[in-house]
Amino acid sequence: MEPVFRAIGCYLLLLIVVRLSGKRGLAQITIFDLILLLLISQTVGQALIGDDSSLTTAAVITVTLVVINRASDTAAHRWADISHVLEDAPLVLIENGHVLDERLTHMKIRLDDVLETARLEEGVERLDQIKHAILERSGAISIIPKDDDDR
Amino acid sequence: MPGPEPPVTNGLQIDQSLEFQRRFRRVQKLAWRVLALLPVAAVAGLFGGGLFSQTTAGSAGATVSYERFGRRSVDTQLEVTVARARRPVAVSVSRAFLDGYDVSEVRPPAERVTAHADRLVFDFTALAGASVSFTLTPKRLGSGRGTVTVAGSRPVRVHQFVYP
Repeated sequence: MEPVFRAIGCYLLLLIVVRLSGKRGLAQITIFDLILLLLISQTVGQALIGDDSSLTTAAVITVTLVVINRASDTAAHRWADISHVLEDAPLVLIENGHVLDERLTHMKIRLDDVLETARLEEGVERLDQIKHAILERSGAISIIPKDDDDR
Repeated sequence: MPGPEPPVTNGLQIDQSLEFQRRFRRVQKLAWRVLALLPVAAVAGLFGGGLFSQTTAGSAGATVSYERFGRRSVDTQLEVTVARARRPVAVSVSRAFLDGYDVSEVRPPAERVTAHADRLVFDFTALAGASVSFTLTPKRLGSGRGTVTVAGSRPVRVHQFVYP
């Protein structure tokens, strides 16, 4: 019974802390995010298993985690509010060529980051060539460049 | 149901749920303050093993020193200091407290342990000012209360909260 509660506890702990940290997905993972990920997985892994390294416990924990994940996916699919709580919502950062500074500041995103993504994804050279930039739920920034009609 | 169709704003069909994001941002700000305090509280001893987590209780005859907070399966020390020498020194620990722990080690080893219905009595040979140490492994969560009594002294109340 205990491994089930350990699994639920660890899942909820990580869900709450990661969601409150404001991180979105792993689409744009920095070296520091990677270090954090490694350290957290190591730390929580110990608490998850405790002193019991049996195959049975490993199976119980694995299945419990998969079931919780599946349940949260189903809840997020069914109810939009839960979807937002668990997975956030997309946020427009540049709207019709207008940079929304407050949103960039709050999300700790620099214009450099937006321009880098614009160069990588769309071959865009300058800020004034971007029509929309959206911070997606995955943490990726999607860029929609201006077309000839917009210029 | 794949969900409702997102609205189109400025040519973009996107559901930003801005009201939700505003509310969530407020929660995040508040949560960050709490999270930032957590490491400080840990250093101070809120989860055991910190600067102010150790407490000492007792009277002139005997003092008991222990951590206010423990963590399940992590050893914690309970140290009994005997002010007056007696031979043997009988230290009795109430079952109400001890049932929440596994006794991993008693140092120095007790010469004799006697089980009573409501307490365990450990007999030691100790001189004045000597201390005996119990290494306890918490196995029960929550609040653990009981008494530690050195024969000839008043019972000392002990209280430890055990985290998961």
